Amino acid sequence: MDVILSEAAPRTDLDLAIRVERVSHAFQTPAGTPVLALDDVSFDVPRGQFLALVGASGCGKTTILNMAAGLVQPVAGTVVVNGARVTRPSRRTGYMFARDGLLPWRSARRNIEVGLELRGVPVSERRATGSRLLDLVGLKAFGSSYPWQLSQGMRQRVALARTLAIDPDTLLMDEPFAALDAQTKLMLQTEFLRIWERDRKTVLFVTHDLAEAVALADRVIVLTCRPGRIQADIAIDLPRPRDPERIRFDHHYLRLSERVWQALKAGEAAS
Amino acid sequence: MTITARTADDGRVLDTLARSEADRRARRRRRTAWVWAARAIVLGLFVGLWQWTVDIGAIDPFFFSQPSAIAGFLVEEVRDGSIWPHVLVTLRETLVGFAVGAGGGVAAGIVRMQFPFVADVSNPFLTILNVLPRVALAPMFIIWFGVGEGSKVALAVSLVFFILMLNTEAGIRSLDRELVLTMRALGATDRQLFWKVMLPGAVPAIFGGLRLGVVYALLAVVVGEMISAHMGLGQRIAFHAASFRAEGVLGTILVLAVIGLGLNLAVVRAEQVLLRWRGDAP
Ligand SMILES: Nc1ncnc2c1ncn2[C@@H]1O[C@H](COP(=O)(O)OP(=O)(O)OP(=O)(O)O)[C@@H](O)[C@H]1O
Ligand SMILES: [Mg+2]
Repeated sequence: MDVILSEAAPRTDLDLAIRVERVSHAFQTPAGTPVLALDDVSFDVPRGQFLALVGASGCGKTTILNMAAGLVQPVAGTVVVNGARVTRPSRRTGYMFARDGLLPWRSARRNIEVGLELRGVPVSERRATGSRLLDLVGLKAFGSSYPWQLSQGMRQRVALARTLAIDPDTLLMDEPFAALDAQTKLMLQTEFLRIWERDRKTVLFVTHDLAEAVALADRVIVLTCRPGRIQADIAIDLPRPRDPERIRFDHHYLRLSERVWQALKAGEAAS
Repeated sequence: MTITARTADDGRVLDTLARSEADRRARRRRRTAWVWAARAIVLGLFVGLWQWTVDIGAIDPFFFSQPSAIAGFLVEEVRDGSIWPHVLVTLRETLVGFAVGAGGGVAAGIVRMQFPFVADVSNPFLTILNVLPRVALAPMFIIWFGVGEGSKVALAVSLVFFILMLNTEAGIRSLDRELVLTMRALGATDRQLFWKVMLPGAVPAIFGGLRLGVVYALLAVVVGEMISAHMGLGQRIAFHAASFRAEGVLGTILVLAVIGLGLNLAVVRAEQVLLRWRGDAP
């Protein structure tokens, strides 16, 4: 899908995948005083955009994803996904975590197919999708392996395939590659980018890894901490297709990384 | 899963892997053989020593009987077929009590986990019933359900039910929250969450309960039969004891031990089949 991201073009609601509008959120602490996690956060994500959210630990990134996923309701403000206010998990949204969350009693294939099973997709169709995705994430030979028989990188690939299997319009990803070693991480980033660049789904991607954010995303939002506010909103105008491995030596990439890093520093200093 | 060698190097690695696997298996077989040999020796020594000390008059066969007398008793019981009806009754009571108790316990655990209100209301009652020594209820069960098989089944149910209920609840409660969250994010309804995550996740704990429960079912039935019954191995034990026949008591106990082993083995096998996914993972 091609979306033209010009400021001049008036955006209709159809172009918008996610709208976070004046969202504030507080959590009750055991001590009794509520802690303000998010303070008046607003941003829009056009359809097909790959948006990365970065910010120090505990500044509300996961909370934003949980809201978009319908797992948490904001205390104030609204989160709209695909034109509808989110009140409960939607079957059109995929959510992936840092921990794989694979069901230990299911083989890799049956884990990949679980989302389809929940949607009542017939077995033959499920098998076909399962095979296609096993192939896509390079685990063709491991379909009948159980999670304990797979390495961490392989398990995370199964989790990625499981998220992609339901063919979501919107992908929410919470540090999906954080638990991996540097090499496996790079490999999965490359693989994921290759898959993503084919059908360009809307992605909301949380990460602590600035290099990852700049290498993958179209745009990076930097959050400040306690309360979470938007510190900077930086467009990453690097050409696609990108190779996360090679882009690290690109001049423009380095300049953008520097900007993101400065914004993060400024955000930490402010709070 | 098939792994094929792509290069000569790969081939060597796979060869080595196959060889070390074969080595490991051979070593394990040798060890198993030794373990069984040692067990046979321990058993032989025990039985032989018992037989011998009675033969030389060191201990009184009136109280302790003798292996040869027990064997003679069992051979006689089997030859005239008089033991089989009792075995059948005890087995039937145990299996029915176990099945009803386990089914009810698992169902109760599930319902209590699904409906916290039910759990809160039932908690004090179930706690009292559970801490009560159930065997003390045996006389009441005999009054309510008669001297026949019903009262033994009821006693078994009263023990097995709680074991399975508590284990099922523990299994559901100990479930990884991450799994529930992931499945919810994948679009699972409450119902699907229950059938596809909570219940399968509780299966290992439920089997822990079943292994314990089958032993307790047999225990309850035998105690019930010893208190008052027309038939059953427990009744035989009480009968032989009353007529001071030690070989009768011990022989019947031996039969009960075999039954217990068989039941336990059945549960363990079922567990192995159902929990195949675990492999030999730690
Ligand atoms: N369920 C909860 N109960 C109470 N407080 C919570 C809860 N979830 C999050 N918080 C608080 O809200 C704040 C934001 O949490 P959140 O998980 O969104 O942070 P994050 O940006 O994802 O952090 P990290 O990068 O470490 O994952 C934190 O200060 C945390 O203490
Ligand atoms: Mg987080």
